[in-house]
Amino acid sequence: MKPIKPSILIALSLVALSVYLFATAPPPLVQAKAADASISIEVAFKIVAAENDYARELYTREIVGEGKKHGLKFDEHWQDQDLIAAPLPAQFLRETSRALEQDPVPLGLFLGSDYSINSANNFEKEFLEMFAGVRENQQPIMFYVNDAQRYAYLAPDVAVVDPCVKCHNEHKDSPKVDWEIGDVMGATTWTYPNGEITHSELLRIITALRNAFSSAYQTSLNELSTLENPPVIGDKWPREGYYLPSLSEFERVLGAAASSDTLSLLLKTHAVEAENGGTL
Amino acid sequence: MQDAALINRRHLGIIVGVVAGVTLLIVLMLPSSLPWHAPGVMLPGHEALECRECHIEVEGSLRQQLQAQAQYLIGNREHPVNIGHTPVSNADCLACHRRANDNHPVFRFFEPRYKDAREKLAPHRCISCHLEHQGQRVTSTQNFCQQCHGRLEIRNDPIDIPHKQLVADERWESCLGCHDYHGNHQRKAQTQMDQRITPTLIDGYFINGKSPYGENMHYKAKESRYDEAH
Repeated sequence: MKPIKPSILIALSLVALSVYLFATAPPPLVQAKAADASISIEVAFKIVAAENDYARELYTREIVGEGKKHGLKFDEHWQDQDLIAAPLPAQFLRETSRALEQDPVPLGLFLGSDYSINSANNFEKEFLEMFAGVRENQQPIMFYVNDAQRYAYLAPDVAVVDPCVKCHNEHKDSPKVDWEIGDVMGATTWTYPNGEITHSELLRIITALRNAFSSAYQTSLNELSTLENPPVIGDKWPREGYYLPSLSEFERVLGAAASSDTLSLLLKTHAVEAENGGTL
Repeated sequence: MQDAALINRRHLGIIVGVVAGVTLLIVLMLPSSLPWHAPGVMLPGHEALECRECHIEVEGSLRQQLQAQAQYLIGNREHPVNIGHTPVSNADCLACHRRANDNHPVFRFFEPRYKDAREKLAPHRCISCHLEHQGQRVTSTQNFCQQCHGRLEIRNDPIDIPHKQLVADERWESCLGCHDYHGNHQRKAQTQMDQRITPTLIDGYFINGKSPYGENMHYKAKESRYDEAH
């Protein structure tokens, strides 16, 4: 028997490989499509930054500020085993951030400053310059982080209530002790992997953030409910005495405060899309 | 005659080789042979884990995966696909090791300002310090804290040699002598420098030794990511 020519063997192999790779005998794997990803992520960032401002103001003024007046304890070392205390506002944001990290929605949230109590949280180099611009203009900026492949949004974190400045001015490790109401004390950084998103994705982002606020507030409730004499948890707030709002009450008030702006932005997004058929 | 015998032996050799090769391939593909696929020894604590704990199978058959990748290469598909298993990521580690009190959770290092740290140390990836199949618990060095804590200042410093002095003297090898990176060990940091854990003990722990930070943990890792009760 004559040996088969190598060229024929190669040709047959290529034919077999082509059939294997391109003949759709098994159905092809489905790929996810972003059919109507037409909303700029900046819209989402504006919404979540505004929602966060409401949440932080509510927690700082009504829970921490008023709670302290009635003996409730809040401490940056709230996780220590021998201390019963709830998170301070910065730790409330950390807990929100941690809850977001566990959510399938890939929204990131971070907090930094140039006068952080923990210097490891200080902005440096180009981020310090960016923050200086945010502080001066009191306006957020958006940029892309190449190595992390994330869109980022740096939003000013303003001292809007008295407990913000009082606590930081009196903290034993604070590098700056003359904060005033209205000062940009730091900035929140928001990150997301996609530059354009769908409507449903936008709603999922907002939902993820609100769930994260709930998780963070529940952490505070869990801590303070272990006090020997715990506050009454219900529909009353510390402003009224030794009380704490339940999770649903906290969510109700936060929702009432934040939803108007969020809805306005959502409707504006929809209106621009309907008018232009393009990206907001 | 001699040529015919040579050709026959050659054919026999080819047949034996093909049969042996196919047999070996089949044996290696058996579920019981999975441990043989590991490129190295598991890190301490992972010895009993099955491959599927970290290596998640991609959907579809091998042929579907290869076809999808071929479509991507010729521009008919928007995104590439993984072949066989998804790349091991932080999510696979956190499936068992997620905890609330992590002092250095990996996700924090995705913050934009940690760009330099990501470039030099990759702290945003679990495997940058805990590379599997090396037989070691920790595969990084002890000297990395300066990347983020190079300007550390503590106003009411509780220790006998101030942190500012340690930073000035670049005593970065001393950090882990008092501080547990993830904070999962139930302990308080020492306040006397001469009571710190030695780098040698820490090196031993990094390999597979006993924990010099104590055995009591705040959170215990799950036995399996498929374990619902924890």
